[in-house]
Amino acid sequence: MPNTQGVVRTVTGILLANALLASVRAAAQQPAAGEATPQAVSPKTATAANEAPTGTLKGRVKVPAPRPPVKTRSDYVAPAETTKADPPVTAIWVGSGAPPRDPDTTEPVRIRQEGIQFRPGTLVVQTGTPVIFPNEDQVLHAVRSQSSAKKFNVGRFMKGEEPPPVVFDKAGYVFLLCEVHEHMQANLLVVDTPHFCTSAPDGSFELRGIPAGTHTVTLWRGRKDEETRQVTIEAGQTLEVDWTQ
Amino acid sequence: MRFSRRITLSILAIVAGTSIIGAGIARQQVRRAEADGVSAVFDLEARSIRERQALRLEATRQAIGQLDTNSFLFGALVEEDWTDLYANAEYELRALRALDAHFLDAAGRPVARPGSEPTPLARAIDTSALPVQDEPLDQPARPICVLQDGLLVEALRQPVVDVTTGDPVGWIVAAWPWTWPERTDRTAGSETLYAVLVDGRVALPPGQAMEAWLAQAMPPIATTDGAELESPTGEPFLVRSFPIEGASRTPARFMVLRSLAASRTAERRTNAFFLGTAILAIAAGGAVSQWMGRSLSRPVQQLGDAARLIGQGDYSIRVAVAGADEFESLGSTFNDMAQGLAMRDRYRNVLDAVADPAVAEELVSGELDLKGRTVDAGILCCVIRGFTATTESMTPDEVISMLNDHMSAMCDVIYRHGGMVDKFVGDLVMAVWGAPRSSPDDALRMARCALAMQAERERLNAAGGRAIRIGIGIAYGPVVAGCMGSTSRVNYTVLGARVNLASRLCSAAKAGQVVADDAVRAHVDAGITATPLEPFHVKGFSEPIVAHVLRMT
Repeated sequence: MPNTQGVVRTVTGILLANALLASVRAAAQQPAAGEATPQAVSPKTATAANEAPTGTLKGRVKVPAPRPPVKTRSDYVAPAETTKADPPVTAIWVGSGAPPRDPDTTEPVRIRQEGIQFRPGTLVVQTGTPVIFPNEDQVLHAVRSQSSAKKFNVGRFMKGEEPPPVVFDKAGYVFLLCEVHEHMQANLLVVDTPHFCTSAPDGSFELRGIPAGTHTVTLWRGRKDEETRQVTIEAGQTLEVDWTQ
Repeated sequence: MRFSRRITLSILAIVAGTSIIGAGIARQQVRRAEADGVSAVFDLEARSIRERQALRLEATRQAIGQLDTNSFLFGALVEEDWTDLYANAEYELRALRALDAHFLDAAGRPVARPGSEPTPLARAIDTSALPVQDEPLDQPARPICVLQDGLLVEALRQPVVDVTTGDPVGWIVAAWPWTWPERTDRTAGSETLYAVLVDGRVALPPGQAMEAWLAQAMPPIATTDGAELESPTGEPFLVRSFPIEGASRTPARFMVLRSLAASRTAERRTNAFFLGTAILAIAAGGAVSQWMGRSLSRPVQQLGDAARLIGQGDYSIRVAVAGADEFESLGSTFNDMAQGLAMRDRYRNVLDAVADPAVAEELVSGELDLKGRTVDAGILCCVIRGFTATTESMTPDEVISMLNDHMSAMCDVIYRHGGMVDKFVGDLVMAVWGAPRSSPDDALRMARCALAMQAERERLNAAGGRAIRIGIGIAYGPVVAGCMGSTSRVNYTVLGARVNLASRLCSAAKAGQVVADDAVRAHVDAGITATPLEPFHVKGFSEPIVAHVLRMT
């Protein structure tokens, strides 16, 4: 439950973001308004979907080769307590067009700041999902995005000063940055489907409860690396795929 | 060539050679020092220009480097949200105080401010720069030199790097006007001019002279370092150039032109000085060599003249050489030599007078065998008949004069017939044929001589003066010839029975007669008739002697 302080901070954050992006057209900001008045999602719709016959999609995607050591600018030195970022994973979701979830009733998803990294590094949420950013480090962090899917800036905060949840109500890619630590990056994929997951570091994944029928599966590996595949799920069946090629 | 001229020429050659070589070396030294000086000034200037450029670059790099750590620019570049990008960069770009500032996307494509076109300067920078892919990201950004509307611009291109990947997500490009070095040296004749060559075009600092010439003359020599050029006003310039650090497609070059007018003037002055010195040295050398040549050749000339006179037989010549050098000593030696020669000449004359010339000749030449030897020789004795009666009434001077005239005439005849006058004893003349030199016709020549003597006497008597009648005895046969006398004084003469015989035959000869022994008669030819006398006894000979009176046939 957001307390009064949290609400004030959220509002401040939005105002700040608006001030910084002053030149951006108001039209681009339109979906942000939805944050304040989230659309109601009928619980029945979700229940009805659950009743339909479903199948399972299971398989493996390719694991990117480990990157060579980064030759980076000499003027940027990450703090000593910085840990390794999460390994790259593939975000996978099936279909589209599902209505957003109700942020009021949806349990917030967490993107922690731990070891001066965002954890997890890649996350998929359904539209309307609130996300909170708990700081578990002893240093200041800040979370913001300039992505068109969701521009926001919650400002800087210490451990225990978590800002209120941010509701991602528009499907798309959101690039999360920490204003304090340049190396901290996270990929948030907001999708309009409840059927999504991220691959394990070894490339394996499993998606249960997919309605029977033909669907488009989207594989997201990076900002400029996204592909779609067609699958046909049969009721009660598990479809095994090998998408390592 | 004359000695003095040779000396003069050699000294002149040495002086001229030394002057020319000395002047050449000095000139080279001056030139080298000058070149080193100019070179040092250039190097200093080049270093200062480079250092200043490096400092300015560092400052602009720092300014532009502030932007690339701006996480909002990073976010906007990642999102390729150009509106957001320029909105976020507005303040920072203004703070750069650049002529132009714009962005490139991750691939290096220019990103113009939304709603406006890229400026001509931005376009010029982007087309002049190398592709961003060629930029080493781990090194400081390299400047790009662009000449736009006559203005030299230096641009920097700073990548905005994703620190997690090391890849640039975009680039910031900012341009500033080039800062020219201050032209400190504006002294006429040693002025320094600057130019920068960009893409074959020439950028010049504002207000610099000779713009048109520089614009035309610089491109062809852009890559040569150390060229020499002459300005339209005839002023020589040394051009040094070095590349400007940069990332342009055609690297820019900085060119420094230094006027050599002042140093050339100094060089001309030095040359004139050396030329003058050389002329003076040659003139002085000429005078000195003239004097020396003359002072050396005068005694040589004197000695030569004297030697020529001595060669002609004048031993009285003496050379007068003053001073205390080798010539003086040579002169006195020469004089001693002349004196010695004169003395010897006198001795020779005396020798010729006291000895037969042939004997004297043999003695002097050392060919005469001083040991006695037996030779076949003819001996002639000639006496004046009635000498005592003739000279009774005469004074001693008249006697000597008469004798000398007679002897001279007789000796001339003897010499003409190859005889050796052996001695005079009173009115007697004794001559020898066959010693010291012998020949096969000695007896014949002696016989002819005797007849010729009679004929000469007849002629002289007929010519007037006092009549002298002579009797001649000749004999031929083995005699001993050699030098006889004491250890200190010798006479070359002949001894033997034939000598006595000739003397006896002479005594037997009447005035106008030539009496010869049998040996002579055996040698005479048809030109001479021999009339035998009754054999008669002669003192010293046991057998009667067969003698003949000779007469011309």
